[in-house]
Amino acid sequence: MAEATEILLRSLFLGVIYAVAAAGLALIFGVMRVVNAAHGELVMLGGYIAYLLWSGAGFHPLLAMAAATLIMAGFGVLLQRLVLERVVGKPEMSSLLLTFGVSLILVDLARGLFTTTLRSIVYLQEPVTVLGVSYARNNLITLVLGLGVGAGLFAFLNYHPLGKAVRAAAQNEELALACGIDCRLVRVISSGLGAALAGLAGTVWAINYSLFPGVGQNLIITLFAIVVLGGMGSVGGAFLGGIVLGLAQVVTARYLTTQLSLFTAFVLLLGILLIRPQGLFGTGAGGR
Amino acid sequence: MIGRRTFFRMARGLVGLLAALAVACGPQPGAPAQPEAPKPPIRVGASVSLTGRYQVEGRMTQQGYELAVEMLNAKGGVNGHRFELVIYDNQSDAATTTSLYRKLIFEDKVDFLLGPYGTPLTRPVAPLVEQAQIPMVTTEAAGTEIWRGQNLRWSTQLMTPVERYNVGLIELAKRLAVKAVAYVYANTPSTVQGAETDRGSLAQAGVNLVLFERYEPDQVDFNVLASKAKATNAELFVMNGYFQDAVNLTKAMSAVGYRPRYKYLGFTVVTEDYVKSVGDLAHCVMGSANWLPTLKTKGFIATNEEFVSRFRAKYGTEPDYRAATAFGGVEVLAEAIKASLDRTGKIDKAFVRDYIFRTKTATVFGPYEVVAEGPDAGMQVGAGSYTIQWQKDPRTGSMKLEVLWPDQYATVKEPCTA
Repeated sequence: MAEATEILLRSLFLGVIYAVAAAGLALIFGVMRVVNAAHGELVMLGGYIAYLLWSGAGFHPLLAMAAATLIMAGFGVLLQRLVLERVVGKPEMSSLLLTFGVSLILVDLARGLFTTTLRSIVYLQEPVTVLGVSYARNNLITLVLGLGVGAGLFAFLNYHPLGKAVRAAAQNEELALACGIDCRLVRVISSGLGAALAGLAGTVWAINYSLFPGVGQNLIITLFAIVVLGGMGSVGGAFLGGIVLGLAQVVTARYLTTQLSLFTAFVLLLGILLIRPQGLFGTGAGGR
Repeated sequence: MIGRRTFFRMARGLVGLLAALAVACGPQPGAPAQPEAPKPPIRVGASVSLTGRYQVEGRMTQQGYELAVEMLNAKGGVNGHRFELVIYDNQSDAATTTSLYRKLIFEDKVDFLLGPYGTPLTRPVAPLVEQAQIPMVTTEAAGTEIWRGQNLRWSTQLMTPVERYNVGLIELAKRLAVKAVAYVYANTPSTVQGAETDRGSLAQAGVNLVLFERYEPDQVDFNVLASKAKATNAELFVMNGYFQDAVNLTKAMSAVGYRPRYKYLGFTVVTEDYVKSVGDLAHCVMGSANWLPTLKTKGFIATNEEFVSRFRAKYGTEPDYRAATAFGGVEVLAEAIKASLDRTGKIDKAFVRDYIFRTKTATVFGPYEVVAEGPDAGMQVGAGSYTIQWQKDPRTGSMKLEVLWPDQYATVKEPCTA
């Protein structure tokens, strides 16, 4: 029982970090059809902003997290208005190349500004015992926060008028326009929300692990795998995909070997795509 | 007609005039001597990583080289020959590094070479140096596969070989009568090589290896691995990996409540950045260091103390072992060139080559001695490592780096335990 609980909690803890980051990527793709190769760098930037606010300005880590999330939301809006809007409606390769360029610029900027030295936010590292198993307090906060964000995102997309507008624009832009939805505004909101989620994930990453300028480059492949696993552009699918991947990695490390845990992501992706080419929540017609 | 007497009088006068002229035109008493023509500089080439993946390490390497040359030239160079550095940025890329060394050798025609940062960038350069027959002291390559069985004749290794990083760990395991160890390591050539060496040494020491697990270098979440190690109840936990792994694993060990009696997290925990990243979790964490700023070493150019203080003054930051090895590389080369000038009267590349292979000397980094001949020629056998431990000062609450081994450098007798 204790072992099963441990595996479940550790999987959820790892999975929600992936899920929050991947949900932002799926949202941007779903609404704009933009393959954002710079999404990992948004995670990295969010982490660095929180780190600087915590270490330089003396912010409490949770306050730094909130501030970093808001700042990244603003950054996402600017990114959409200045860069991403130019490739909306263009072939996906255009957005991939453009955002790949943005990614390179952001990584080099981060190297110049923050150097390549690892950074980490030291917060609630002490363990706490739950059902006979130890977990770091920050792991549990991450878990609660991640599940809360998932629930909030679900509620926003399903019940809030703006969230419904986002879904409508994602499903059929022309019909949404005909219904009076300002699709341009929806794109701005989606980009801001996607970047905010990346910023939140970055802060959580800095608390639980460590940051360096290339962290987003390492993460982006996993995030793409999760988005494809969940169904291209499906926010709920990406969220669930993140948790499935977390579970797969934890089970592999626990019962096989740690060395294979990262490899698992791609085996899982391959297996699910063979059975469901549209992903877990994909409709097969580009639906969200 | 001039009479004989008149002739001799005129001749005496002429001789006197010439003598007076000679005195007038000669050096005046107290006047400075005619300056000697400056001796030609000795051109030393290197490529370092100023951009790309190894830019932090590469910057330290460059600063070590530049400071050594500056301090050497301030002392008059080597028998009046100033050192002149020719340095290029290799962008942390092996192919670029090779082409830059080709340029240094065949276009710039440098006299001697110093190595780049890291084993992966040094490896492809070694065959080129053999072909060009220019002595090269490599300063930042810990992997021994570059030399082992390769019959190299022109490159030597200054850095502590990777197999010797954990010599102190084995000694401590014996001394502390450790019965069981959980050992995890990154899947990279040098850490796998180091882990295999440690496995053999631990077995010889009678220590039971209850967990020996490999992880990929991109691994970030170590909670499950730490949990597995905890389940073994091993009293010693060892990690052989990189800085990011050490930080994430330290956090994971705390997260799963794993408190082995001894924690040894390899060669990356020696920096202050480690303490900044994990805070109080650094307490009692052991590791190894190739060099320490407090060592009482002395090289051809400076003592370690002088090197550290000059480095701080010039760059406004603390030097690390990479800066020390780079500085040491210039010291070995300068010492060899001086020996060549003193004994042969010229800068003889073959003499310098023989010298750097046969000498037993010291640099600010520590002892320098390589395999003189045979298939492993050039491989470092003199440099060692130091076992360190972070200990929290109960009075100030700050972390202090203590040396546990070797005994002559030890600042504490026993490691603290978790």
